[in-house]
Formats: sequence, structure tokens, C-alpha cells
Amino acid sequence: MNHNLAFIIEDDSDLAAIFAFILTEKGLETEIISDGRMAIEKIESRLPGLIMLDIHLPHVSGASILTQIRAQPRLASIKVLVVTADPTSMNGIEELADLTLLKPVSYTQINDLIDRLIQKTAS
Amino acid sequence: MFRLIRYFSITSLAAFVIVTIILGVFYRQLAINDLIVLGENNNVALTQTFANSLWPDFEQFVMNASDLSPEQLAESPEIDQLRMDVLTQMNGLSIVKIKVYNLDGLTVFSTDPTQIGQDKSTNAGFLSARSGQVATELTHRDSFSAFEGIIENRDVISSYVPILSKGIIKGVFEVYDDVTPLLLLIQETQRNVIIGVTLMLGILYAVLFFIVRHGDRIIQQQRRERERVEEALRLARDEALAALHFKQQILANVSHDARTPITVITLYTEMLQNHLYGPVNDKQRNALDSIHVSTRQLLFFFTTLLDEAQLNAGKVVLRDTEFVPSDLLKNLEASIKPMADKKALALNTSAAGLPDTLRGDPDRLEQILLNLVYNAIKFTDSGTINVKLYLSDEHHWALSVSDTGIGIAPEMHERIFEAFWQVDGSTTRSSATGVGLGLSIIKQLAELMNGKVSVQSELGQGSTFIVTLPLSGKNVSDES
Repeated sequence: MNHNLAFIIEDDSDLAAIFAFILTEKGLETEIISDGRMAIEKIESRLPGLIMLDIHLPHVSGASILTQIRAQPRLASIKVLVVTADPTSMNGIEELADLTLLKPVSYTQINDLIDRLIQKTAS
Repeated sequence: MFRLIRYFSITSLAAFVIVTIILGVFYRQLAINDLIVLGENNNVALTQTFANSLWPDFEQFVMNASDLSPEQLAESPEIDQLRMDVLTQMNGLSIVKIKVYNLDGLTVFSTDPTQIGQDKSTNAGFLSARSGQVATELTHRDSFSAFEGIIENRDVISSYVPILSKGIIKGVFEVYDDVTPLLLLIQETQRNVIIGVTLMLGILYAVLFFIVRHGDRIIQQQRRERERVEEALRLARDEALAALHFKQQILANVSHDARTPITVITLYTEMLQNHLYGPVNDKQRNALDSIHVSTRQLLFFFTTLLDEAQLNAGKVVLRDTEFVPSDLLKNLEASIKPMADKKALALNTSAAGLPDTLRGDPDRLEQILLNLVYNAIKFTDSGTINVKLYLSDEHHWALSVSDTGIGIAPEMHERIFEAFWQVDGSTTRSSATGVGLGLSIIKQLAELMNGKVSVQSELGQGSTFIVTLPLSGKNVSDES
């Protein structure tokens, strides 16, 4: 698992760019995936340590990506931070995400939470 | 389907027919009874005449007739004489037969000579007359031997009448009276009665029929009208429901879709403010602050609208998760401090005495705090806003927001939680904007969380809003 690599699975390019900026500031390498259909494949091949996941994606729901990640033992320990606009979209699968944030999030919020996640990974 | 006209036609027709038949039969029966009574009276009268005129001459002969044999009886001259006298007496009357019996039941005389000598001592009619009681019956005879020969197809009233001489029964007279014409008369009258009644009932029926048909038409009309109205109502209701659903869909979609762009705006604004893209001069900082504040208001607006729609539709589902109380305050400050700074208001937060984590819906709680602080800023011109999270008792924790603003009069304390209520602040500031839904939503959310909200305030003395919630999260319902 590549702890210095973070994936951003988000179809809005502006938002994805901001997330990438924040993560890069922390010294992480980032990759943006805007089409959810390629997500699992890419995750399996590059094994990121952290994923920022949007639920409301076209073609494929973020929720199904999340369940697929957790279903595979190789991927189960990846840290997943869900950022979503719809609070009900995580109903029933809350526990699968390490953290869930509701849009809009503040810069401070994201920063703190990502730090926390990274720390957990390190220890 | 019940049709009045059909029901009426069948039942009243049946009733009228039955009534007609009953009347016809009833009339006939009464008439015949009367005929029999009158016939009997006739026969009794005739017998009396006979007793008065002829009997004395033949009494002796009749009394001793039992001593003779039937042949001797038939040939005796007294019988001939009796026959002649009887025929004379019966001339012109409707009597068709006469028989005389002595007290032993012997047929001493009959206008049909073949019957002379017959024994009638066991005949019920004879026995009845012998004991003084007249016995009468009306019978139809297909063929009958009268003294003029055989007659056919006649109706006859026959009576056994006691022959009374000086008050003592001396013999029995049997009289046959032909009442065929009278019976025919009765029949004819019966027919007329039936025709008359049928005619009258027919007219009655026709009148009633038209009345009922008219009534039936009105009923059908009203029924159709009512069905039309019900259909229209159903359509209207379906349209209204569809429109409501559509509206809720739109609200949900708009609110949802708006969040991502708003997130982009707020994040970039924050990052610029934090010098991540280089230094920022004062003018730029002010501009960024304004953008941030306005964006928060915009978000607020969307969230409020969506919440109200969802709450109305009963569609709000609360999260039940662990969260860190101080995180709530951190996010709150990040969101709303710029607004407070703009009005030069101090914002203090504290979460003393609470456990490290609590259970509940952190986003909704965030929303409640934002709402309360937003209101506090709106109605406070100078001073401090204090936000406290604390343990209120063994089983509850609370969040309170107090300000040094214009305050709320006690009479208003209940009403401010109603939807669309705007405290028409005495403030002349035109900054009192807002949808007016905030407090109503807070109340509904708090209640959904099994908590409650209250206010302490006096005019000019600031306000404190307190939301008390159960410690164990939203599923506590009947605990404590």
C-alpha cells in the first residue's frame, strides 16, 4: 500500500482540484478520478493509502464503490473520507467510511480531518 | 344499482293485482253468504206456509207412514193429493224439489217419486232439522231431478227445515231452491267490481308512476352530478399531490446540486483568506470576507428551504453516529466567525464538562448551532455571543447560544418558533433579512432528536436559546 498516494474520486473538476491542492500541501501524491467506472480498477492497481470519495457520481454510485473497496481484503484498510452533498446517501453504510463530511465543508475542517486520518495511518 | 322506478313498478303492480284479486274474491264470498242466508229464510218461510196450509190435512198420514211399505206409500192416494197440493203451492216459484220426512227419517213424500220410502234417519241435515236447527247448503248440481224432469247445471240452495205445528216439531221439510240466476248475477257483479277496481287502481298506478319516474330522474341526475364532482375532486387532489411532489423533487435537486459549487466557492475563499495563494491586502481581505459571508447566507437559504420541505414531507432521517463536540464548535467558528467579525461582535465557544464523544447527527446539530448564532448576530448590534455545550443533567446535554442583542418579549416566546414568523424587530436596521424559518426548523429537528428547545429573554436584555438533548442519541425515546 502506497501511503503517500491519495485518490480523489470526484466528478466536479473544480472541487477535485481544491482537494488535490490540500492534499499536495501535506506532501501527498494525488490522482483525480472523475469517472467512477474506472475507480476500482485503478485502486487495485495503485493501492492508495487515502481516498476522498464523492457519493453522487455519474454512471456509478460512490456507495457501491465504497462497498466494493471494503469487500476486498487487499483494499479493506485504505482510509476513506466520504464527502457528500446528501446526508441520506450514506444510510446503512456509515461504518464503511472512516469519516463522512457533508458539503459544503470548510477548509479548516478538511485539513484537520485529513491530518487525523493520516496520523492514524502512520500509527 | 338501485332504481327507484323499477322497484316501484314491480312492487306496486304486484300489490295492486293482489288487492284487486282479494277484493273480487272477498265480494263474491260476502255476496254468496248473503244469498245463502236469504235463501234459507225463503225456505223457512215456505216451510211455514206449508205447515200452516197443507200440513194439518196430511199430518196423520205422515205420522203413521212408517207403518206402510215404500210401495204402499208410493201408491197411496194421500200422496197423489199431496203432490197436487204441493205443485199448486209451488207454482211460479223457483223451488225445484220438495221432500217431506216424518220424525223417523222416512221419506214420506218427494216430488221425485222414486225417492219415496228412502231412509234419511242418519242424514246430518235431517237430524239437525229434527232437533230444531235449520240446515242449509248451496251446491252445484250437474244434473238434478226436479219435478218437471231432469235439469242440468244448476246452483241450488237446499234446506232441511223442521215442520212446526203449534210450536211442536212434527216432521222435516226439505226444500230445494234454484238460485242459478242469482249466482250468475253475483258473478256478473263480481266481474264489474274487479273491472272497476282495476280501472281505479290503474289510474292511481299511472299517476304514481309518473311521480316516481320524475323523482327517479332527479335522483339519477343528482347521482351523476355527485360523481362528476367527486371525479373533479379526485383529479384536483391528484394534481395537487403531483405538484407538491414535483416541488419537493425540485427543492431536493436544487439544494443538492447547489452544494458542490458552493463548496468550491467557500473553499477557495478560505484558502485565499489563509494566504495559500499569496499575501492578501486589506481591501482583498474585506472582499473575501464579504464573499464568505454571502456564500454562507446562500447555503443557509438552500438548506433551510430543503429542510422545511423535507420536514413537511416527514422525510428527514437523522444520522446516528459518534462525533467530537469540540469539532462542532470548530466548524461553527470557521463558518460564522467572519460574519460576527464584520459586526465587531465577540464570539466565544466552550465545550467544558462534556465526554470526548457524543452520539447524534453532527450535521444537523451544526445546522442548529449555525441557525442560532446567525440569529444572534442578526439581532445583536454590539457585545458578545456565547456558545456553550455542556451537561445539563445525568441523562442530557445541552447547547446554548446567548447574545447581548435586542431581546424578545415574553409574550413572543412561544410564537417565534412558528414557521415564517419574523420577529418584527424594533430595530431600524434593514439587515433583518432571513427566511424566518430558522427557529421552526430548529424546534422540529430538536423534537426529532427527542430533545427540546427553549428561550430565555426580555426586551433589551439579550436572549439565550437552549437546546437540550438526550445523551444516548436519537433512539432514547422513553428513557430517563
